[in-house]
Amino acid sequence: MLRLKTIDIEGFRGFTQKTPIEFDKPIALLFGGNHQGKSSVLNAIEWCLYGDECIGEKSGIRERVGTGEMAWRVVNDNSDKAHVKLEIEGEKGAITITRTEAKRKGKRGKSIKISLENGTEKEGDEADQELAKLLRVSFRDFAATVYQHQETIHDFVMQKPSEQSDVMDRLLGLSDYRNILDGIKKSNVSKVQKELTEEFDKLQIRVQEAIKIRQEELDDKRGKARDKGLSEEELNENKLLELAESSNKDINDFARLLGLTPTPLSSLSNWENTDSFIKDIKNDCNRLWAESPDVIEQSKKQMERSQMVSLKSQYETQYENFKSKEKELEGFEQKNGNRNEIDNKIKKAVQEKEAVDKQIKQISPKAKLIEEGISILKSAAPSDTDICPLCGEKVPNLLEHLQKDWEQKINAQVEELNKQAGEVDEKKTDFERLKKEHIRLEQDSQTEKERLKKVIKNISQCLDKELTDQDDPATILSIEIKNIDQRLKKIEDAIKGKQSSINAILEKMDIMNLLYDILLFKKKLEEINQIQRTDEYQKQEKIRTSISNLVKDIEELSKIIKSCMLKEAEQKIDSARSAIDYYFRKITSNPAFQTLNIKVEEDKRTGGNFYIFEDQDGKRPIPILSQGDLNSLALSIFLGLAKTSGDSHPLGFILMDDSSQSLDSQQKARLVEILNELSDIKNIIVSTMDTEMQQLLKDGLTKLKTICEFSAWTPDSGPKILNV
Amino acid sequence: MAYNENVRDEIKKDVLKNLWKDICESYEQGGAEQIKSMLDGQGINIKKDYQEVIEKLGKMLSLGVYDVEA
Repeated sequence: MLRLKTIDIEGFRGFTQKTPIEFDKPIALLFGGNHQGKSSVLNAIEWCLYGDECIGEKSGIRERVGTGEMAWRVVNDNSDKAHVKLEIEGEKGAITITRTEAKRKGKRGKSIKISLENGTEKEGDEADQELAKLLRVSFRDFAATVYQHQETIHDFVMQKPSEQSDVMDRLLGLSDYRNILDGIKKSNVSKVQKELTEEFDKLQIRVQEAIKIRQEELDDKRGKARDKGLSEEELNENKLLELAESSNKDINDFARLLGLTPTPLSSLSNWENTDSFIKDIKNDCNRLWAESPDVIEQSKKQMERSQMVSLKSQYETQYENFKSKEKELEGFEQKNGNRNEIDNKIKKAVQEKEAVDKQIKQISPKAKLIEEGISILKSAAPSDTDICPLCGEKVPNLLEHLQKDWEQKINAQVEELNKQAGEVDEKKTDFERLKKEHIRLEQDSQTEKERLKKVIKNISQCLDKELTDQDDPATILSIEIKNIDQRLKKIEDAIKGKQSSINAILEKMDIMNLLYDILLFKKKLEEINQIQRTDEYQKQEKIRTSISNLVKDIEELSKIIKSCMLKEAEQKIDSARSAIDYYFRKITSNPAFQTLNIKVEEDKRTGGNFYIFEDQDGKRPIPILSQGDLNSLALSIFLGLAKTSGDSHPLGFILMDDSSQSLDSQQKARLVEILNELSDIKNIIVSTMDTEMQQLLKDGLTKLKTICEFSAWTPDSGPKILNV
Repeated sequence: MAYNENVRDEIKKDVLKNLWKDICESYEQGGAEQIKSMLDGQGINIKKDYQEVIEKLGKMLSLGVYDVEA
């Protein structure tokens, strides 16, 4: 049996500095308040032995489940790595296990080393294998029979009765089964199976619809074929090929009728080539038609007619334009005179202007002279206003006289002449404007004339004859158009006769098309009906079978897992039954209980384990048990399993964390008695913050004890431990 | 692991043994979630294969495959 000797903890959870703790005595008691590091010592032992198995969802311990910020931290916040060295006493000597984890992600930050009794050292995976061989106990069983977690006790006490089965499974070390069943239940394989079934049903519907549509199409074509005069018996390949052969003959006859050479067409031997056969026949019909002399001539005459009609329209329009411009020019000349007359008017206006300008020139110097004289006299002294500024003679009232002369006569004359000059200028401007207008009208008229000439030239070319000025192009064109119409009528009559031949051929093509469609739809319908024989259909059947088998396998396997879970629960309870019963009655000392019996059955609702606790009368006391009694029951199960494993268990110690939750004083005392009994076969390590329990343990456990008092925890230095 | 051996000993069919082996490996790697992922992955693959086949069958049934001149 393996027993703990010492542990060195550094950088692990609440421990910053290297801290050794001795376990060389049968009992180790860890006392202290909350968050002082007591539980971390027990966690360190667990972690050193089991590493990552005791962290995360698989551990079965809720506080260990979490990621990121919520992850249960191994490495102390103020340390780079966690380091735990555990010395264990084996049968042949000491074994040292050292586990380290650095504060970085991934396997590289983790290491394990084991030194065996014979001095051999192993590391890494080899060390893990040696450790597993040494311990021979899974983590699950370790949690059930060696390390009583406070969470488990707490859950058993606090959980609703309907959830106690979960706690019981954890107590009995069955969490792996539950977790696996959980993972299986969460998977959506059944949902996928349903989806595939739905897809298949949709496919079936589509097949039916496709059959229905094809059948409707086929019936429609059959109806049309009957309308064309075909009987039901004729709706086959033979009839189609027969029509193909006669169509070949018809096209040859048609070519001969037109006086042309037929294209050699290959015969139709397989109905599936009908499409291209019909295309060839139609192409040849079109070709023959296009090459037919009547058709060619008809086309040519129609083009000629169209051209003549267009030219006639152009001529009439252009003639009107030209006439309109001529009339406009005529009207203008009537009103304003022709070019020469306008030029003469302009010339006359120029002469008038010159005459007026001459008069102005004559008067102006005199006016200027008088004006200057007046200015000089005005600025002269009053005694000098009668002295002539030119000759110096004295003239009475000279200034007055000059002013009168200037104002009355000269000024008026000059103004009158200036007014005349303005009027003449205006007249001249008007005449010049008229001249410009005349030029424009002349040019427009000329332009329209040129255009008309061009149209007439086009008409000449069209008619292939010269037209003189005496010819009326519109009339000539009308006659030509009438002649063409007569010719076209004759051609059309000739063509009508040939049209019926080609129509007959095209009608045959329509019937062949119908027969082809019927044969094609029959084939498609057959293919749809045969779809179940296709490889793809067979494949989808196989796939559906495979998912169906997977679902069944999963169900069957789940049943086996549940059965194993139930069996293991029964075995463990059976083996520990009397110990559990004894411990429960001892701790609770409840006179109502003479026997506690635990049974396990399959839960009809979930398929998992359902635990039934009965007293001696077969009654179920769980709903009416106090919290202390429930705690006692949880402890009894743990201690019962621990005791029952006894000598056969490789680990010779048990770890208990805050086991006295909800117990009264007497229950605590009785628990201590039980621990004292157990210490005969196992080393006991107990952690508690309960001061009453601390005293009871000190006084009640008779074996040698190590007592460690934890206090004054700080982030920088970790807990302060005093060995008492 | 005890649970692994206990269940394996109860399984008679090879196909179930293989399934159990896959489940245990997934569980050891990543717990219940990994089991779910593993089984869902099988489901997804099957579904993908099935959808491909159904699509092919659908195309066989599609209408207007031929085109004949009027």
